[in-house]
Amino acid sequence: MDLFRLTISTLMARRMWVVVLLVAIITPIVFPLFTPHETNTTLLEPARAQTAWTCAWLIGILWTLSQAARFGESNSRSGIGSYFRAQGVGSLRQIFAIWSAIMLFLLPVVLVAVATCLLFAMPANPQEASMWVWTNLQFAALFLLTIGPLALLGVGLASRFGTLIGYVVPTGLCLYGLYGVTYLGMTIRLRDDNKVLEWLYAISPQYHLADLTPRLIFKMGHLPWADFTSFLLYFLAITLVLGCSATLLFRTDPLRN
Amino acid sequence: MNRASIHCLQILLLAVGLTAWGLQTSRLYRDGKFAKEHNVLHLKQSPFGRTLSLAMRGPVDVYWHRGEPHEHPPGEEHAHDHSHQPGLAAGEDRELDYLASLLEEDDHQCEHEECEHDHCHHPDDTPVAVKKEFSGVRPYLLDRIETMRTAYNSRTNRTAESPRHKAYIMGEMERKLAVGYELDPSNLAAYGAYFLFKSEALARVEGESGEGLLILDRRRKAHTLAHRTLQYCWSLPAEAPAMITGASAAHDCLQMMAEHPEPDIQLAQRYLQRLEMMLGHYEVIRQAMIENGTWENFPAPRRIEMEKTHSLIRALQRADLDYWNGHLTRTTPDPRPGPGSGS
Repeated sequence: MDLFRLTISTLMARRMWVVVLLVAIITPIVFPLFTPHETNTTLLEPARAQTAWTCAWLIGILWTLSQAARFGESNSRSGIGSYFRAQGVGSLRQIFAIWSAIMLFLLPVVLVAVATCLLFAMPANPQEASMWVWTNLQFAALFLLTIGPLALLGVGLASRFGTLIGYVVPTGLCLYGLYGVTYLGMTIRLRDDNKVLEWLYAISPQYHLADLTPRLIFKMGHLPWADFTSFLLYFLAITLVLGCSATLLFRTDPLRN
Repeated sequence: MNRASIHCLQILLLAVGLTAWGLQTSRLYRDGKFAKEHNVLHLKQSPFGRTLSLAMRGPVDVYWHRGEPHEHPPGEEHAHDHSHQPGLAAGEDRELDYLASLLEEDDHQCEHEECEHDHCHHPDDTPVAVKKEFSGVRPYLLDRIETMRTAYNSRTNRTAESPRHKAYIMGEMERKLAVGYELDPSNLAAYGAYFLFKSEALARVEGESGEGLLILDRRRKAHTLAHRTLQYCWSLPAEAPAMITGASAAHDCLQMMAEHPEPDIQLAQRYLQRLEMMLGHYEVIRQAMIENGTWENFPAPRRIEMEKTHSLIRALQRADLDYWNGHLTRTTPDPRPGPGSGS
């Protein structure tokens, strides 16, 4: 059995995927009922879209990144990495085998979010509907380009420094890019004399650009294609940096050997 | 490929990635694509924001009463004189008390609507039973939690507040009012309380030397807030609460402009038009909702709140029309209704 199939089998045996999928399906049905929809039924659709994608983010951060850290550490500490290496499986193949198995379990969550938006929140106007589909597809691409490299970094970091570091660093980076950076941006706009803060802001990963939830809530339409391409290149560059860092950090053997 | 070559390739790709990241960052930063409002989970102005905006009244109330639970003695539910406020003599701060009454109005209306609630005792009710009968595990647990919450919030320090502490409380109040407002700018109470605070309360608390300038600055900010609310509500023409909040904001804009030494008459006319259109929209929406039976879907306190505000704004609209149509050339403006009275 190769490492990819072994990781999938382990994830299947842990059964957490059942809970995750149920949460991804049920929350967009239940949570919108907490909005004042009785007096304004048009609130339900945007609330469903918001819940579906917020849920995908939470699952990505809480589950995918934690699994990445867990598998990264267990691969090096338990000797599985050494075993596969003895079988001729190099470290690059090992890290990508673990990563792709974990990402495979995130894909259904993304599909559920897109399906929820397309089936239960689709605008009636055909032009808006077409934009809605594209917004969701753009969102899915940017979402995967955010969580994917962070999961890879998690595997790499955890294999060298343990589960805690392997989870906290990518999660911190993700939350910082989603919310911390916008807070920093607000501070800079209030007082524009701090060059250090401006530099920090500029070099920070701007993951909030990958979160297209407001475009869905307010039916703003899809991202202009030129901007989307720019964002894609930006996240691909980050992917390259995080991917190379992760593979350089990745260890197949226990630290003490 | 040997191990050393793979390492070189990885480092090369890392360098390429960093360069590309830098270039894209520079391009996107220059184009202003990074600029985005701080909005955790995109709750502000979202459907969930509307629910949370209503829930924000609790935390605001705790700060308003300086941490003390807000409970009136039996038979004094309607009293809003706040003589029980620590560190504040009765009637010392009427505007602040008015703001408090505004914040509490909903809670009280709710209590009066739902008289089955344990804590609702009207003056003509029978005397309060000292011991309640056991009526089930759930009511017992709810009562216990309420008792513990009251104990948690109880205040033992009866010393009058220092001006700095008062200013701190007011600052926190403003922050919470701002959060409540930003979650749902079309919420009548959230907007009304925040507007009144902006225009009056903090200026009074913090104003020592140069109070006049501070008040002017506050009112300018309050005008901006009212204008922004008006624009926001205007984008929701199918919603009755948004229309009534927008009408209230239009009146507040006119109110703020009336106190300006050189008001922009054209802008005032636009506000008057918006005020009329929003009140008209509200009446049409309300009528349609009554006809199709959906009006009752609004909770009773919200319906009462909207109806009361509608009557008030209609009356104030006449005063606004009289003032702007008849007294524009006057050097000394006529006495005006108090700021925020329409909110």
